[in-house]
Amino acid sequence: MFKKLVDNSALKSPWIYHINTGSCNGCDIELVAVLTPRYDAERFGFRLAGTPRHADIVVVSGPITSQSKERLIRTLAQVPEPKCVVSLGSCPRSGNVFKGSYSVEGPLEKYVHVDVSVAGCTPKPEAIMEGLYKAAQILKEKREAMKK
Amino acid sequence: MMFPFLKTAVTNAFTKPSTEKFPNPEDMGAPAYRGRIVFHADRCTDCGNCVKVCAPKAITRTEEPGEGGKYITRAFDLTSCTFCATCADFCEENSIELSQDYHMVATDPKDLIVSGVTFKKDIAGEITCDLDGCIYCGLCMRNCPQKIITVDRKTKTWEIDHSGCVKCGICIGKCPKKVLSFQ
Repeated sequence: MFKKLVDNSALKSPWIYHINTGSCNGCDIELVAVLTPRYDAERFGFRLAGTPRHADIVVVSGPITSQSKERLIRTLAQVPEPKCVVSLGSCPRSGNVFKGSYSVEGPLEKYVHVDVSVAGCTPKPEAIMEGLYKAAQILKEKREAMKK
Repeated sequence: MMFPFLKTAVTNAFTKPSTEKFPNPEDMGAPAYRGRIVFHADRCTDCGNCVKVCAPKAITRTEEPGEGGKYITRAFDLTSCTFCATCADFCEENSIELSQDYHMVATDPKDLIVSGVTFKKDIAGEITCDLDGCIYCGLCMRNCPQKIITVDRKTKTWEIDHSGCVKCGICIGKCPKKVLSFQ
């Protein structure tokens, strides 16, 4: 019974961890804007976690530079299953204007399966909210699949 | 005053919350917002300007032969786009449009590709200039997307390199004296 209570609570509080892999900071400030009272993602239980070990959803922004590649892999390995990966903006999916650069080792799909991609450069906070909401639904499905 | 915040507390109790509603699919961006690309394939002349000016190389062009012409598919990858609208600015026929729709969330990246198929007829003949009426203004030279026309006003010469011509017809439309034609 206690386990059921924990499971139900975890469904309503998908914590997010944000990793910047060489982003221009545009997507990052929009993600922070999502948590402000105007858009208020915290009413759905989304909360920025301080460490990847506490997170359910990983939000990746930036084109994955050579310097951040190792850190990205290490961070993703620390997130417990079931996890959901959200790519924020154009950069993690394709490299955007940085594609072809000697120091860019994207796209993100090379390292991990991307569950939700939010397009835009940068996406509007409303669009990011939609992406997070979709990620939470996928997370719920993954949890149910794990139980079986 | 004993309760300095009482007035604020009472007024705030009767005002609308500042938090925006969610989900709100009808909500669109600001009037000048550049969102999802809308491609009007029927207007496209296949001049190739959009592919050339795209900084992140988000536009791809594929060609398939058809009866009496060819089918040209132009795909805009929104997961690669910077939404700078340079392609829309350079499009002579205004076939590319950036709408206010910002709801671009997908689990499958294929949903974020906007594409359109244009049928381009095979045009017999090549661009020729009737030099009797030409005033050597150079508008055709300046507007040619392939930059294959050279006009010199001083020496009164009009030259074209036919090998690079894509037959978009922009020069015919720009000519003020209407002396250009496919012949």
